[in-house]
Amino acid sequence: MKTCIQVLRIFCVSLFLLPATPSLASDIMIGNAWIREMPHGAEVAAGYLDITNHGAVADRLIGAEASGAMSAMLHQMTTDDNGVMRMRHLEGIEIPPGETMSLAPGGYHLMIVGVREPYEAHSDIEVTLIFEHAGTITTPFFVGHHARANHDAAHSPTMNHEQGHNMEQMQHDENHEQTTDD
Amino acid sequence: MTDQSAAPKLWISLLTAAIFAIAVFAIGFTLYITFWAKPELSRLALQNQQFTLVNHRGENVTAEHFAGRPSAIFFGYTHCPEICPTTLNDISIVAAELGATADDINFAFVTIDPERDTVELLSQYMTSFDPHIEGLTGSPEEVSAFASGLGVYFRRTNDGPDYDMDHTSWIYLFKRDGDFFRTANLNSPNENLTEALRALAN
Ligand SMILES: [Cu+2]
Repeated sequence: MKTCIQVLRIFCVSLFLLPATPSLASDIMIGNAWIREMPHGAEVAAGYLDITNHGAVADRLIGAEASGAMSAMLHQMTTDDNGVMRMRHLEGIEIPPGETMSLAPGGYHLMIVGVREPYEAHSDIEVTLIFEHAGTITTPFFVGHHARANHDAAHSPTMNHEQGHNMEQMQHDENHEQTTDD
Repeated sequence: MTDQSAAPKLWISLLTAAIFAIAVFAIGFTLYITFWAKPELSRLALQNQQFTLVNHRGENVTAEHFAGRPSAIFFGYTHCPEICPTTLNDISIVAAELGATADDINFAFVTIDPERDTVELLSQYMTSFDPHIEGLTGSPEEVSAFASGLGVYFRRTNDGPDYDMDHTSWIYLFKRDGDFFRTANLNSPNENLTEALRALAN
């Protein structure tokens, strides 16, 4: 029932957005979409992705829906000089024309709350992203400790936030390799 | 002739004054370090913390629980999507790198969200990380007592059901005698927690 309403809601949003912006959906490209593997008992998950705007006008990510979860919000995480981590809700994330915005550890994330059945490691979770102009885009997010193997992809500067977690990356390089072939 | 000898005399007195000022400063600074800053540090010592918490196995934990072993203590909450699981993963890797030395170190994850983080939830959550890490919860008062004793900041972001907690994300390190050693920041590329703990356990 809940998913019905969710689907209906997404459908309505798309109906509303599509006529105004006929073919812009293809202007937005999603890459490196992944959800951090959840510890046992956890009900929240963080989703990350790169959004590239190939269009001529700015677009805004204004919302998201993740399958199997109650809701998904746009969050910004900051850490100050005293080591205090803060999370703030954002109304939208702007993607200027010709640019790539990265939602990456240490910065922006999709805050997925109320996950009913913990997302299984190495599975793909459908997430619908809602854009102001491009409408909705549904794409699979890989569940792991980082994006699905993508060594040669141009990493955005925000990847630097992972510096402190290099060890973690090394440890999981085996699963990294296994998923390269697609 | 007299005019020329006045200049060196002035320099000598200026130099004397400068040396005197430096000496006064040095003595003052030493006194400050010994008598004023020391109590500040001892206030942070583990043995001076007043709290009774419960670990994820349901056992009571007070400051004595940590006595005689170096400690690495991290504050967070299970509804934290990023920094808490990442830090606990990193600590798990550190514990694995330390091998048998990890048995001689206290690793603790203290929830600053005790209302949601029950013993039952922590007992599930902690199975995702190295078994050396102990999850601690308790009454909001006891959690506050421990956190504020160490100067850990935490604050609920809103009154809704899906609230987040702002919190200090550093790891607090203590020596074997319980004295505060330093905080560790895993986001710093220069941080080597494994080496720091190995040194503390020696
Ligand atoms: Cu968040």
